[in-house]
Amino acid sequence: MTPDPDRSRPAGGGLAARRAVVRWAVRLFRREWRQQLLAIALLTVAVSGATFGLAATWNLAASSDATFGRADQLLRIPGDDPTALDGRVAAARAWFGTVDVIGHRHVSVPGLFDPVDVRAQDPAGAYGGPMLALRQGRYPTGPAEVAVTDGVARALRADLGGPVRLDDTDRLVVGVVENPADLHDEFALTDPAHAGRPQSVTVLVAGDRDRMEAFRQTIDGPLVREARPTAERTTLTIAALALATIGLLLVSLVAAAGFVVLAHRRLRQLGMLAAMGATRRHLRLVLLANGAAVGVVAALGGTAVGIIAWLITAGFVETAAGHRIGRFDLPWLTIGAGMLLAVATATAAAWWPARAVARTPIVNALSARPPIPPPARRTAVAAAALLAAGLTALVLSDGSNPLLIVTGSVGTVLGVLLVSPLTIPALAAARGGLPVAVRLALADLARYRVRAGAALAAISLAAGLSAAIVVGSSAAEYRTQQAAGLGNLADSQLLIRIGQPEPVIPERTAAELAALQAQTDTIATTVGATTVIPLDMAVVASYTDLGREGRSSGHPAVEIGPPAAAGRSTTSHPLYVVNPGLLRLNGAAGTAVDAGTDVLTTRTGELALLNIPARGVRPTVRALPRSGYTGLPDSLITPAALDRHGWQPARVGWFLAADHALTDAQLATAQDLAAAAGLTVESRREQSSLTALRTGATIAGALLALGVLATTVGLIRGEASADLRTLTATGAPRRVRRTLTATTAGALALLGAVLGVAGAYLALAGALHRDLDPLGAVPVAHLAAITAGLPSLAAGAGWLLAGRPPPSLARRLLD
Amino acid sequence: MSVVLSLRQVSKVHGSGGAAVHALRAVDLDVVAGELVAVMGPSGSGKSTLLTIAGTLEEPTTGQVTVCGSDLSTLSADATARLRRRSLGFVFQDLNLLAGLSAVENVALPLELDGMSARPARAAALQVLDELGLTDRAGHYPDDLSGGERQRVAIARAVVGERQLLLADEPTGALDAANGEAVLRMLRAACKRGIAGVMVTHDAQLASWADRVIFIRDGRVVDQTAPSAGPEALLASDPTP
Repeated sequence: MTPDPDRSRPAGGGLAARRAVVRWAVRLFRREWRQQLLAIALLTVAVSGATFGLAATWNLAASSDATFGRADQLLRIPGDDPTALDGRVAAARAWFGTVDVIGHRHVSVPGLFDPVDVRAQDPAGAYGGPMLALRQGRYPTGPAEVAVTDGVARALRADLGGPVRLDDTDRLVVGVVENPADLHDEFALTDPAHAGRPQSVTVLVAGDRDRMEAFRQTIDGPLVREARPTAERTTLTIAALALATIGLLLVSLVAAAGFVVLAHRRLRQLGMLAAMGATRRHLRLVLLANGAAVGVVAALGGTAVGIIAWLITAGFVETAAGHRIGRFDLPWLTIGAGMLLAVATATAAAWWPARAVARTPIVNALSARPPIPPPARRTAVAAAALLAAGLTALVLSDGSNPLLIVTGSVGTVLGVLLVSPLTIPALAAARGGLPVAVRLALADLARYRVRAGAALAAISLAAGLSAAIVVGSSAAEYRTQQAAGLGNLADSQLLIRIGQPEPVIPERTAAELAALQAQTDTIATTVGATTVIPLDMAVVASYTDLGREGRSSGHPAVEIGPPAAAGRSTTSHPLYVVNPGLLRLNGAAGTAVDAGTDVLTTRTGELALLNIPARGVRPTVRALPRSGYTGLPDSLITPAALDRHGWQPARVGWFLAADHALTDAQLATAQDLAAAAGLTVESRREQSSLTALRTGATIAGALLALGVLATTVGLIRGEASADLRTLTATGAPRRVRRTLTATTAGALALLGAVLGVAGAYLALAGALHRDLDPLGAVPVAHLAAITAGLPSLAAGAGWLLAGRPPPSLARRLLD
Repeated sequence: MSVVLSLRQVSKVHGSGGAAVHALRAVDLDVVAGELVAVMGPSGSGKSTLLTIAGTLEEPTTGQVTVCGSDLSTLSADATARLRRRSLGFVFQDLNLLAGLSAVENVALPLELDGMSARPARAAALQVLDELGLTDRAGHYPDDLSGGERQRVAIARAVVGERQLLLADEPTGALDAANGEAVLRMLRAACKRGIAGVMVTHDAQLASWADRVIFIRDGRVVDQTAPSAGPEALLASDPTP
């Protein structure tokens, strides 16, 4: 007896039905993966970028292990009172149980500016393990042994197995060590059992803040304690994942256009499946499974590519990060989340086409009639609402609130994407008076506007992202130029300095200065300089400063800048002693400077003389016109001021100017001559240009748009093959076929480019609404490439590729 | 004999207002189990619309359609889909098989969609293919099958399981005479096993295989007649006096 199927089988087909549908979807994916290369490639690139970004972010972030090891908290106890030190260490041990004590002695070494940290640390300590690693040799045992970091070894000229004198003790270097979590941490390691009295001690402990605060209550007097900061690398990695999510979402919007094409290509087969009794859920599942398959392939491929790229570049990242990096110490969970996200976004991208196809009447699907587009008014309202919300968020962001910028950008992008399909009928309506092939192509775009609209949305997105980068980088460059003026120097100018720019000017003998002057004259002759202006700074001769980082001592150079306030840093500028050449250079030639004036400067606002023993000395200032160059001496002190304060002029360099732009060869010669005499040369620095970025973005956007066109134009023309058959039958020449394809591609590209650029400008205007001047710097060439070049390229490619009669003339190409 | 398909005063109008097109006008039709009905008429007469309405692929504008005892107007979308996969089988002129699935997988698909697990569904599909002489083509994909083989596999899929109504839209339209006859013979055999069949054709020769022929013009059933004894009748007749 046959069991009643109504009772023995689930109403919707259950798991067996879903398995069958997914099996078919996967088979179709294997058959048609080439038609989905664009979506697969985009997602793969996005996933590989995300994987690499996550790996790099995770490993670049400085780890608190460098300071805390495995501990949660640390105490810093001074060693100036040995009894108190011992008492506090004992109290910590009693309170926390296990502690790890690291002693420090900061020992001066002749010839070195910075003292060497002689560290007494137990390599087998409870918490300090991650702070210490042996690179060569062994750890020191006994009072006469030491291990050093490579930096200390270089500074002390010590070799493994060789002697070194440190802390008034002759020791044998038995090992090379490092702090793997901070390769810049330079120290010498001694055996804690035989170390001298420490100057300070770090005590590593485990326990939360409350426990530490409770311990604090038991201690009299000050106690320096630090808690391990929250896991910053986790935070950074999550931020990177958030960025990757946005990237994947944008890519999935382009992928969605590809899935729309795919859905329409499979329309008849899906109609057949529905005729067999598949439910709408089953129909949706076919495309969702395809989307998931694309996501899985992209996730696996992209992750593999990202990890390989990471492995190749990890060495460079290690150098840049300054700490050891485990090649496979990666945020696997986050990377896994990124992979899942890729699958989810690809599946989500397939959702809308799947929904539309599942709702298509079966009879329409069987005859491959495209779905009826949603009412234009409803779409327009949604687009307007999204655009308004997006632009409002961007305006409110003031260009600085990341959350509002992301929200606003996504809203604006979605708004533009929804607007895109609505513009197709408008374009088609304007076809009157055009040649018949053009009219027909535009009419076909309107007839098949669901798939044309999806393609247009993807092209708009590609062009919009390109335009946003092009216009945004141009605006950023404009702002930078406003801040930086014309650059440091003109290309005909050189600044020759004696040594490095320093706030402390060493004393030099007349003979030394004469030699430097002679070398400068040689340089001037070599480069053909017509102007040589000596540069003197005002120095406080009565005061001697040690100089920075162990450099030779000298007299402090008087500077000018905003008055220093307590607890705030200030920016100071050097003051050069007035001479006719400098006045001429600053556009003040022949200016009579009255005796009461202290300083001539282009700087504005409240100014004080800085780097002098006295505080709050306000000079009498006279304004100089701005030259536009940031490297020129633009703050001058008068001889009268020198006399008043008892300061002395000190030669610091020369300004050279030629009547021609200096060649690379002249600059190289000048640098060689200067280096030979201990001089430094400053020449015009090339101002950073984002032109390469703009060009790259334009090319990438164009390629993306052309890829979308390649996958859609053929289908749209294939749909209209009946018209083409009719045209061919009525004697239309090959030119008509070419015109049809070229017009279809060109019109979509043109609309997409215009919408993309308009959307980009809208979004940027929203974000920069307080100062729209930067948007006035229009990158004409790049925008022309997007709005004119891309459509021309698309039309040209369409014209060339439409030369052969398409197979669809002979038979339909739908499955 | 039980009525498998019943149409009562069924009309179908496409579009509205001045653009309205009456595809069917007040059509009445009953098809009983084991009966093969041919629907003939000129292009645009409403033949295919009649078939799609009978097959639940679209709804009539007015009128009542009953398939296997179920009034379609009372069924939900899911229940209608279930009716299609359990009781109805379709054979179209072309594009009958799903690319990417082998012949046996195509035949098993309606059963799997209905919840039967893959193994028994495959066994049932193989049995039907065997009955239709297609065992050796079971593992082949549609691209590897000839047009006639594809239509025969489509018929296998349309009758697999416990189907009660087989709907065929120009099933031999893309076939040569020999393959066309083979397909018709299969349809006829299926009906002999108790399945009700409705076949759209505009070929009188093929219609002669049917038990009854309905003529449609401008959406109306203008004539309905049993065909004269055709080749099938001659073949089927008992030679003994």
